[in-house]
Amino acid sequence: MPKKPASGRRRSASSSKKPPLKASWFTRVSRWVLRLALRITLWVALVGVLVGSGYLYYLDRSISKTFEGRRWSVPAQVYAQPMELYAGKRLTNAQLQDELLRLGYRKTQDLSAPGGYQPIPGGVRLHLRSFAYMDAIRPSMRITVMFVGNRLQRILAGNRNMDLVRLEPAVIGSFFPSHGEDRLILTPDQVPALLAEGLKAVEDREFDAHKGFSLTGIARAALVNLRSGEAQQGGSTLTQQLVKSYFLTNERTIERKLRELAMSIILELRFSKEDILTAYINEIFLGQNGARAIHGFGLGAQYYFNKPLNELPPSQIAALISIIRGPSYYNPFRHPERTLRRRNRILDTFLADGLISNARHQDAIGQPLGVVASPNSGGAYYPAFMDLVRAELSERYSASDLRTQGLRIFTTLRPREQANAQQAVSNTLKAIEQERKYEAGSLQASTVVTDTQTGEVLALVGGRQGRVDGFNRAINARRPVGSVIKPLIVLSALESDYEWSSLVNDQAITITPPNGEPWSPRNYDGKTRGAVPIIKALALSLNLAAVDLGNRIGLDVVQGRFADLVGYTPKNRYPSFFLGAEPMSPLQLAELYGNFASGGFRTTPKSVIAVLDEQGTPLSHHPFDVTQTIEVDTATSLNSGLEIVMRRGTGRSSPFAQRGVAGKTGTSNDNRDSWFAGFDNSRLSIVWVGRDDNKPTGLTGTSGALRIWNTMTEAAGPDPITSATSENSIAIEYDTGLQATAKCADVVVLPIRRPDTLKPKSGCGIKTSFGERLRAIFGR
Amino acid sequence: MISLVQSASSPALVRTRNLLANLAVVFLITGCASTTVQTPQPGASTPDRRSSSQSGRELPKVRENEARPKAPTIAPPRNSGAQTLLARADTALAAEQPATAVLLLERAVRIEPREALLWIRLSQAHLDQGDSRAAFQHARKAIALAGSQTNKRTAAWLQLANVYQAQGKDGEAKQIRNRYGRSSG
Repeated sequence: MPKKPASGRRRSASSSKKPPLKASWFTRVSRWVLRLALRITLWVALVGVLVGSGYLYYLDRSISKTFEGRRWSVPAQVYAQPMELYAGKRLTNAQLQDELLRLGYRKTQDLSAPGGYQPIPGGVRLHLRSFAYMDAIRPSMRITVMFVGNRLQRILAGNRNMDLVRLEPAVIGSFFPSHGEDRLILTPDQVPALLAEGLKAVEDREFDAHKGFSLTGIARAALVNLRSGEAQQGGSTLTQQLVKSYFLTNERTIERKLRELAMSIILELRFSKEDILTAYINEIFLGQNGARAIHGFGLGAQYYFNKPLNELPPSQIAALISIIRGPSYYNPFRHPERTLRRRNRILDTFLADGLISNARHQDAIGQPLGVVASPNSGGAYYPAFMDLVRAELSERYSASDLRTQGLRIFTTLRPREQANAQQAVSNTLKAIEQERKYEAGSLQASTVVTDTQTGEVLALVGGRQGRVDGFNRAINARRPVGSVIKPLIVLSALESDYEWSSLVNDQAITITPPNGEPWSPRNYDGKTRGAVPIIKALALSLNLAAVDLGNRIGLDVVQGRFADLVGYTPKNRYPSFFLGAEPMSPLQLAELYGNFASGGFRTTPKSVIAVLDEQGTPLSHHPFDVTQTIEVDTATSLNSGLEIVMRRGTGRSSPFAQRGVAGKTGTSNDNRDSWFAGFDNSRLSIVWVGRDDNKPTGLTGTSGALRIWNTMTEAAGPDPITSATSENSIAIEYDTGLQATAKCADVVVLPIRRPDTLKPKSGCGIKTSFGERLRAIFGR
Repeated sequence: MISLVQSASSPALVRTRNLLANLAVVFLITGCASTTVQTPQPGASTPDRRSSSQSGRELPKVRENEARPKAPTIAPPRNSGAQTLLARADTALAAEQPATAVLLLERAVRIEPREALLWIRLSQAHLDQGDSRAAFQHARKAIALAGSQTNKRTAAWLQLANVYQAQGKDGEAKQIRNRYGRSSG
């Protein structure tokens, strides 16, 4: 009995144990699998959350940093010189109106708002925009400017006579010092309401409500596009477009779309709608001009319409919005009709949404597209000059200074001079190529124009296409200067015992420098002329005479003067330096000739006048920097000789040769480089013509560069040199250097420091000086 | 690069200038005699390389019997715009604002670059700012541009004398004043 319970227990134990044994194996495996699955899921989820969070954090950092970097950084604005208006100024009514158009003023009968002008008999009325100059703020004001002939007669503000009024300076560039891109940044309150509302109506109807993306927007766009059969609407929100614009990639992958979506949501969570819309308006890509990308509506308005954004009528706002969808497809210059059709559809949307009245809609629909004549005529954009500004800024300021927000940089550029110089380069090269049947576009040229007294750069042309970024030949192309260097030898001679009448030998010579090859220079025409006075040698640019004179003075002396005048030592330490075998850029040559044109003062060419911070507080002013390097009398004498070069020598073909201008031509070996350096009272201009591949051009300084200078001078109007007449100016025979009179010889009048050393030409009735007689007696 | 923050020495300079001007009046009234010394040649304008290395804020030193002769009457700039700016610059100089004066005068020079009078004032404004190097070079520039215009040439040389005096080169200053002071009466 007692077993029963025991067996029963055993049985029961065994019977109760058996099923659990089967269950245990299955359950254990199941549980193990379940636990494993759970663990894997948990780990995967954990890793997924960690990786996802990390990725989201990365996206957040990436988009927020980009957004804040762009949104809150204000670019540096670069200004040209403002035009000064005052009674008696040499300026015509037409020239003033040209300047106003360049500044984006519009011709209108309604002068209630700034930025308009109205021609009246004998003058013009205008409503000036307000402007904060470096020394004062000028509020907007209405003035009347009257002219008599080619001079400004008076300026009236109401009934009050004004002594002096400045136009506002042209904005010639704006860039983010941190990343160098060009923008005209607008703050939210500067954004026209029609642009903000119009953008939402056309590009993103649910902008105010969505959180970065819009499913209904995508559906609606798909429907509209399906119905119309063309891509009229996009499904991306403005926020998505902004994100896309920041990272500028055309990659069409799911991954990119998801990333764009995530970033859009992050932007919406982090920033206000107003911030996002303003960033969009400042950022969106609106076209390409050469290497320059047109970003933002501020720059777009200037580029396409040459106006500030706030002066655009509804038709032009609609035109700008129409470009967003495809800046190339809807390029108003290349596809005006297509762009006009889309603009009109956008104007219809404006009307349908109640953004403009019926009357304004009718008026706008009737308007032409209204873009400027060509991609290169809108707004003021001078990339070559801007290169100089950037170079000067980086020389004077540290990178951290340049990252200061909203710098305002006032420069020396005169847009009218710049336009003249650019036009002269482009037109003359084209004419030369046609005349000589050269391949179109094979020639290149560059110029630098400076103020003779201050050294300020008034214009700088880096190549034949002025408004396109590219290689800047005025600053970066260093080419052999040829005979343009010769006045430096003459200067050194005049500073020694030589006079203009002193004779030098124009005869064959072979020079073998120590450790160098024998060198036998030749004259351009292959002839020799024997003994010639220095003035004739310079005027005719005789190479052999120049080498003879240089050798007499010494290479070290001449190169020492070079270093005094330009601040560095020449590279070529051989006598070929005397013939300009020294590579220089037009800008460096402008510095050398600045010493002559200024009457003996070194005035390093400069482009930046002052830099102000965002609040208008001057950070620095770069005053005139003049240093006397040549005695006044010697500089005056040298310039008189350079006037003779124009009157009698290689410059005589210039229509201005007899009108009080000074200059020197230069041609490098095999006619590879054609140079001209010329000046009058006001302007010094350096012109180079050549080829980028350094092949011969067949042009001399006279047949190439001088022609460009002639055209520039024609446009600017020559300002004859008014050097004080030297008491020692004496007539000497051009061929012999003997003292003579115009009655008995072909003479030039030049300063001679020691007239008693002059030998008179026989038959001219000039008495021998006492000094000369003494010298004859004592043999000195 | 010159900071637009005005030199702390400007008021002292102006006070000194006023004092010198008063002394000049006394000088002219009493007809104080001066010793004849070798006069620098006006045309001898070899650059003074020593001065180019000098900068800083040297104050003109006031000494007995050394006062500025009265400046001659000088024709104003031909150009009304430059005249207006010159008048404003003179006001700024009188109000001890040489930095503003420099801005106004440079603006005037851009209108009339060869007007010696503007360069004379620029030299004065730089001197008031304590920049004797720029003051020296601008005075030389004024002399070069004055050419044969006697009064402007005299005024330019007298401005150079002021610069020399500020640099402590009393001998040079005195020589110039002896020569040009007499001619200006």
